[in-house]
Amino acid sequence: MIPTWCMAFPDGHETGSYLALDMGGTNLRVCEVTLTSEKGEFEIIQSKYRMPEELKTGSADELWGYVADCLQQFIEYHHEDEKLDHLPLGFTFSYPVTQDAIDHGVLQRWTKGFDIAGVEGEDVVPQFNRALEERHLPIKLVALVNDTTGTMIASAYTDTDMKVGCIFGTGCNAAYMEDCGSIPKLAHLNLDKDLPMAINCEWGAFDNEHAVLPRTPYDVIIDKESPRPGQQSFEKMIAGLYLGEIFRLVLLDLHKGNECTMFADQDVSKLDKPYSLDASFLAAIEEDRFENLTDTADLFAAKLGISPTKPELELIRRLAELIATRAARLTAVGVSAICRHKKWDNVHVGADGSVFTKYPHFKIRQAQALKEILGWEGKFGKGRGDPIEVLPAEDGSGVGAALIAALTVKRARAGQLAGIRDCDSLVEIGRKMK
Amino acid sequence: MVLGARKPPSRKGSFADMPTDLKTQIDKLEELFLVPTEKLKEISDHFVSELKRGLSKEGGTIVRSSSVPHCKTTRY
Repeated sequence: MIPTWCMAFPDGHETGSYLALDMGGTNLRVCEVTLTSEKGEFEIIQSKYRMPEELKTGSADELWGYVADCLQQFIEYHHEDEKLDHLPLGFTFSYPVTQDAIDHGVLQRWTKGFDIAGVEGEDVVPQFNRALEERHLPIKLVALVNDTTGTMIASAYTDTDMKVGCIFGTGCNAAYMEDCGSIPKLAHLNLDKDLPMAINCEWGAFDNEHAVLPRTPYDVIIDKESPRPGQQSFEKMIAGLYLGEIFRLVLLDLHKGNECTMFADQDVSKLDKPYSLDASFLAAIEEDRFENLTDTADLFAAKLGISPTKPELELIRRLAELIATRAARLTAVGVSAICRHKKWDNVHVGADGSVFTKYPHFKIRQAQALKEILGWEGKFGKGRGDPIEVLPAEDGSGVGAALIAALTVKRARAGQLAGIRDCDSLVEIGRKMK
Repeated sequence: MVLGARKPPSRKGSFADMPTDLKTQIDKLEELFLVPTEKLKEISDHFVSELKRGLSKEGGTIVRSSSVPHCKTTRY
């Protein structure tokens, strides 16, 4: 439950040009988002750059230097010979940070294969700024953004019913808009109790105490074998990263146990490899339209070198359904909890991530579970027109990050300076934009 | 269309010629992985209290602290 210092929803009338930067595990994306005078409309130009592998284990100077070089290339290409004056930037930095302000973020630790000395435990913003200054780039970092918050804000720009942003992908997390008066841990700051504050829930860590989640022996193994046992308990049951692994563990257990015959006399060495199956493998099984599951048989032969019998294929299909359905139903628990906490009966939830956008039946299973939890009447729970409806989100790390930059400039101009470190620069940018 | 955790109707009856040992395993897996309505409600109740606790001065599981670092969402 991390306050993100994103303290407003867009009203659709934001205008101006903003940069958005998204530093992921494989790519670096730079966008220029122009919010037009048409309500809720925007134009976007973007470039994608590869994150070189060697950079991920190099030095901090090399990392920030590369990021700044990409920004410079983008600016030179799209604004050749133009005299620019401090383009505001929203930076989607998808690593765990704690924020005392929107332009501040102390990296807890690297994830996604990054291991760069001198960044963990430090505020990444001054390091990033130094690289910009060395290159005399006309860019001002305004907001460090979490992808869930970006997803919520981008969705709210075009749909004012959007109150929650979720990522159902390799990982799983959500953000929603709280009011400052309901955040006791910020009480000492004496913020206006009616001001909104986006909260990054970091709900992957829900029930790390194992009080209520119905964990199976397979979930216990996943946790024990993971790099960080005891953490991200909720995420380990629902996120795309783990769905294929749960599936693999069950099949291997059935093969090795003596309660049934499974893959008798077959070479299971490929199935023996941890994390060799991802969520798309389960999705493909569930997409098999043939009664005799021929696609699934082909998939097992090609990927695992196993030829399952017909009854084994039936078990495989049912297992994929069970694991993915449990995941979808548990995500509904999180969504329902936010809405119940806020006493929201009719809201939209913006969702992104590969599991949400690509996994078959995910949305309807989630809607059905929401119906069961919230006791909706019969006609609801189909995933369309429901009181609480989870909808595909707008581009959170691009448009969302740009919007959060815009909203931050806007509130600085209006004199709402809580949670902004470099107030003077923002007020100055805001003054020049109008 | 698969609704909730129920068996897709179109595939009903496909377990007819299932060997009993595999059928028993399927039943066991359903027992393990199906989350009934009552359980969903119980987890949702606990989730609500954890959200409130995470906002409180004391904090809870979903509050960041130095002893509980958080994995952040990644996408593929």
